[in-house]
Amino acid sequence: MNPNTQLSYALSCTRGRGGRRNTLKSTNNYIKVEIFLPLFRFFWINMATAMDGSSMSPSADGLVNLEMDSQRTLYPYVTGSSVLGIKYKDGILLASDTGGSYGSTLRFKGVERIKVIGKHSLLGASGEISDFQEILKYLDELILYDNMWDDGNSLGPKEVHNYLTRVMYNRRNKFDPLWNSLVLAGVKNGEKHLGVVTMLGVHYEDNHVSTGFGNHLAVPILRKEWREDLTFEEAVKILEKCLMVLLYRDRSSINKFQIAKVTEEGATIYPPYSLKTFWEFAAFKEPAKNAQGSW
Amino acid sequence: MSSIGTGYDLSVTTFSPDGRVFQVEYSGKAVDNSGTVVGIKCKDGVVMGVEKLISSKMMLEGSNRRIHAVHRHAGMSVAGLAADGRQIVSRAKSEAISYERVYGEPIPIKELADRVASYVHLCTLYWWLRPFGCGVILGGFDRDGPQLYMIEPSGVSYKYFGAAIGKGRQAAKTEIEKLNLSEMTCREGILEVAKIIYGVHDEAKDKSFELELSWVCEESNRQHQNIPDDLMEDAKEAAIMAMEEMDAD
Repeated sequence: MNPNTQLSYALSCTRGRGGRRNTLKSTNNYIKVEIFLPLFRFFWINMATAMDGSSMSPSADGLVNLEMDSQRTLYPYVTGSSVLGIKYKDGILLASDTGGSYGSTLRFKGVERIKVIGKHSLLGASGEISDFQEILKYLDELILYDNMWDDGNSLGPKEVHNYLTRVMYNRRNKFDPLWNSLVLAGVKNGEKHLGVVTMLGVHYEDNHVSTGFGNHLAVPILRKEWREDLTFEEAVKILEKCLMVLLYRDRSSINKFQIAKVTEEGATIYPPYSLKTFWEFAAFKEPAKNAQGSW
Repeated sequence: MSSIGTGYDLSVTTFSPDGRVFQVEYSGKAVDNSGTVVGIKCKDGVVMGVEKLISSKMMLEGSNRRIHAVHRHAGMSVAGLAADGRQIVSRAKSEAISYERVYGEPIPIKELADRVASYVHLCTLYWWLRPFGCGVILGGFDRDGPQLYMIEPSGVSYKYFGAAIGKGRQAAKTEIEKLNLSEMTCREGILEVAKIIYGVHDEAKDKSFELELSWVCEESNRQHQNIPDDLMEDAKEAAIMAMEEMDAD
């Protein structure tokens, strides 16, 4: 299968690698076979090529190496799940869990996926963690150059959002994407900015955003409950409601979250904490009670 | 003071019979004719100050900066030809960033000084390049604490407790030697540097000047920054008072 259709299959799959295993009900055999088998096959090929030390060269060399397959990002390996963002009265809140999954294994449980950028912005990322770290490096240099001008001006969230869009779009055009969905939030001169950039270079702004599974589970809640002029406590409550749903329903989320706030005064990332979950539903007590033999 | 190097001073690739490279010495003269630049290493950081001579009343205050940040933790103040200075600062910035890209940590000040000195020295080796007409004082804070280096147009770089270049360097050096730097904090250091610069400024020859001060210290979180406005006011006041005391004698 040539890499182009490979990319689109990977994108249509919510978790890029592994597909959905252990489905109790086989809903659509066509999708299951089409997603699972080719990914499984290419997993072996990709591991073999990656093991021989061919490194992902930085984007500057990407043009020269376009011919060689091993130089493209084909799969994400260590991934973060959703990031949520919501505008409230004084600024913007971002929330994410602190898990890094290695396929279906929850490998890392203390991954900070929201970082402060410069003076005015926060960046949250879902997707490949190593690509997120690379993006942080690029942004660090950008902010450093900006500081060294020392002209009283500083890069605001709109500028950083635009820069990230350019980076992501140009990488995707070289078939070597940074496998992330980024959420960029910030406040400068009283103006609040909350936007998303995806691995394709798609970018948009809104009053509330989410990435990954959040698009399916959190967005309906946010659409219903978001209002202009939420207080900090109300906004946190809405986010926690979304995080709970994601915790129950998204396999790659864990019960350890971080909330980050950005206002005109600056950005803060709060220490991680957990939510109280409830598992005492009657249907969980004796799951095999009404089972009819093997499936 | 200067001997005429007839015939041996036409190119930077020519030695004189007594082993001097005259072009490099002449480039040093360009530095000696510029406004004084002073740097001192205090107990908890480095303070740098520049006597920025104002050539025209039309110039906006705060323009033509002579002190530049080279990275978060280091700064450079320039004496001599301003355009040459910009080139050196630009090179230092790119060296600092490339070191961080490769090694993941901010460039140690000794390493940065070595690299800048190599670059300045490079331009004294070829006949198709001229030496830089500026001297640089580099101050920064790394794992080994605060450090101060001075790089001359010849490409030599030494580590200093206190350094001065430019017009009033002799008088400034005398003043610096009087200070007890190992016990001084940067807050006190700022006042001292301001006093020195106001002291060496020659009212007769040059009309007016602007004082530029910067520091890298524990108080600034080990980042290079221009000193806060309120401290700047205090420094200027202290310096002016010290001048008046001297005049009163």
